[in-house]
Amino acid sequence: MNRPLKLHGWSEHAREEFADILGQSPSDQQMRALLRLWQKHSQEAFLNRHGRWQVKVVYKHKQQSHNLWLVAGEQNGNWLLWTIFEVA
Amino acid sequence: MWYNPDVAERAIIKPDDEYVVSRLIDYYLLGWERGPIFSPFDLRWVLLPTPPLRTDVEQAVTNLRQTRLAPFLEKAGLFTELSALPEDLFRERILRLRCYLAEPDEPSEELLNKLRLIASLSGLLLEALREGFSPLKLKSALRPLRKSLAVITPELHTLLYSLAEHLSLIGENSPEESDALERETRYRCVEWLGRLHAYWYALLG
Repeated sequence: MNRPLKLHGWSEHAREEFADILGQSPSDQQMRALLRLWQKHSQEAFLNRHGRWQVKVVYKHKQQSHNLWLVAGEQNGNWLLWTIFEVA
Repeated sequence: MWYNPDVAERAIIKPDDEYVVSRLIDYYLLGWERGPIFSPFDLRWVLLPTPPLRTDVEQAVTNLRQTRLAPFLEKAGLFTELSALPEDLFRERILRLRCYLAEPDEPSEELLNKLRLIASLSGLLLEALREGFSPLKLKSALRPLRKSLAVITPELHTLLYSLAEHLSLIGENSPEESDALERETRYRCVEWLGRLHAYWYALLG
């Protein structure tokens, strides 16, 4: 199974999880920043226990910095940012 | 020093009685009796017993008043009409006694905070299993406790990871299959409970 080098978009759920982490709804620009982070770190991605690709990235925005786990899943033949989480 | 062998004999509590009181307090505070090793992936092993009655705990504590443990009951504030204590205060005082049973020194606030948090989280997870909380309801209920865990028990980082990883699959618009998600959430609750209780017993014996 080849790891996805690029993601085509994000699930609505991923956006909601990101909003939960940020404390406010992320803009499309912020979501695209996550896709770029995936692209940058995709070589480090591993298959998690659910059979999805996962990688850790550092997301920086203004004064904030978050260590995020990005999870990619396949839907209708497209790789999407499936969910996001941060370990407090 | 005056020594009366009759009084001294009465004051000595048998180690197995002390063990039983410790276990009863654990069971009351955690809501779950220490049981056999089980796999979180085999729910046949998971029994959800009803926690002991408070009156049973009160009676067990009262029975200690004539034993060598009397000074510790006094320090824990348990030489009083126990049935008149509000529940929060009663739990707080038996927690303190449980600490004295593990170590006769004053428990640190750090230790007490860890134990309070484990008991709260254990209570919530058991309630979720017993009442059949939806994954969404569980996620919402866990939010403040996850923050406390990160601050009070940073050594449980791998548990925090497990919580964050699984809860990130739960949401109003989760693309996960709902039955499978509900099933896995139950497995995870059992796994988290096992880890919390192991930590409790590591701290208190």
